[in-house]
Amino acid sequence: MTRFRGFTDLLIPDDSGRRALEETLADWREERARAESPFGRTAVDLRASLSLSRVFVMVGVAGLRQEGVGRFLLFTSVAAGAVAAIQLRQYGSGLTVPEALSLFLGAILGPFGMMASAFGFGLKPHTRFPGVTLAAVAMLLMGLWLGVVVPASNQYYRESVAERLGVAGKRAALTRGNPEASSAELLRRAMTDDAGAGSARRALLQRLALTAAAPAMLLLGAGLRARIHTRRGWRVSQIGGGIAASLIFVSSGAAGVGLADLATAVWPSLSRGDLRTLPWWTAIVVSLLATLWLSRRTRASSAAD
Amino acid sequence: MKLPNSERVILQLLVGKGPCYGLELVESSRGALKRGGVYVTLGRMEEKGLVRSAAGESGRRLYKPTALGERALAAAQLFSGHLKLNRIGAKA
Repeated sequence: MTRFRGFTDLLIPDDSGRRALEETLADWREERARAESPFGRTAVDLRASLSLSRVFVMVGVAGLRQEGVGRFLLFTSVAAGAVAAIQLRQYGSGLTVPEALSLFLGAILGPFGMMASAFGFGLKPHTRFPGVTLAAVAMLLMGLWLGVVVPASNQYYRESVAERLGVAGKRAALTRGNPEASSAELLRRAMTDDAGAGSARRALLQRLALTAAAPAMLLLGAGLRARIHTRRGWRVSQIGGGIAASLIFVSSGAAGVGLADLATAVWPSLSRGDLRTLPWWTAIVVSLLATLWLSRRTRASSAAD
Repeated sequence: MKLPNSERVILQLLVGKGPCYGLELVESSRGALKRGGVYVTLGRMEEKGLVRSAAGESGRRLYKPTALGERALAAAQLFSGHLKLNRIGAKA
């Protein structure tokens, strides 16, 4: 109870939202106990899942009006943009301005945004963390970034480099591969019976994993920050929480790479391509489990509520 | 005070039927209120002072209208009746 309550505290900051969740769960238990057949219980479970989704959507939308949400999004974007701009220098000085901009938007802004979100920039110690709202916003932004911005940037970069290298007239002929296809296009390709459908499905799964990684990282950062803040100052908690979240995420991703190697060694029929998203899913699961573990409350603090 | 439709339905049911659990309100509303969402609306109404609740059985809460809620409902009904009369007057 205390761990679950701690986790819902992190997701839903206001008391009325949490109470809505608890009452919906109580209704679920009540109706499930009254259901007489397995069919009836399944119907109750389906209805309850819809009710819970409705609660999360309504609480998430209400959270957009909460103090600090705008500041958090602004500060996180600025921090990610600043680090990404510094990182751009790695790519050398031979880039044109539009190419540099396309690299900035399409290749490096997203991962830095994900990392920056773990620090909770712009949040103040007295404001409660609107977890469900920010997790939804993070998923939405990551989905849009991966589904629209990255493919467009990839295609632009290919066309621009082809033109610069003197492959004149080839610009229009550069067909879009999976990295250059939008998520909608990938979905269309994945649903066909063509030879490329399998690789389109794998590319979609990779985008899905990255989209799920954004809220996992954000929540892990928030969980760590709250934990560290019980002993240290706010700034130390923000920096320490952000760094620790990044380290946990990256190291569990590395463990996922090891798992993929092990799996292909044990089952040679598995291809590396099938397990390409395993490191991401490992990092996501580890992050969520760590967040749940960090969300535990002491019995004393629960009793004080 | 602006009274959205869902809040108005809840107040009508609470005033008409007496104290209710959220699920009873959903079942009596004939589709006007949705499961889950009703509790978010009730929470918002409690913050506005339109309803009050007390802990009931198995984690559920029993909701009652406050005097302010009853007055808000009466005012909303009066206002909508006034509008209807105006429309009828305009048509005539």
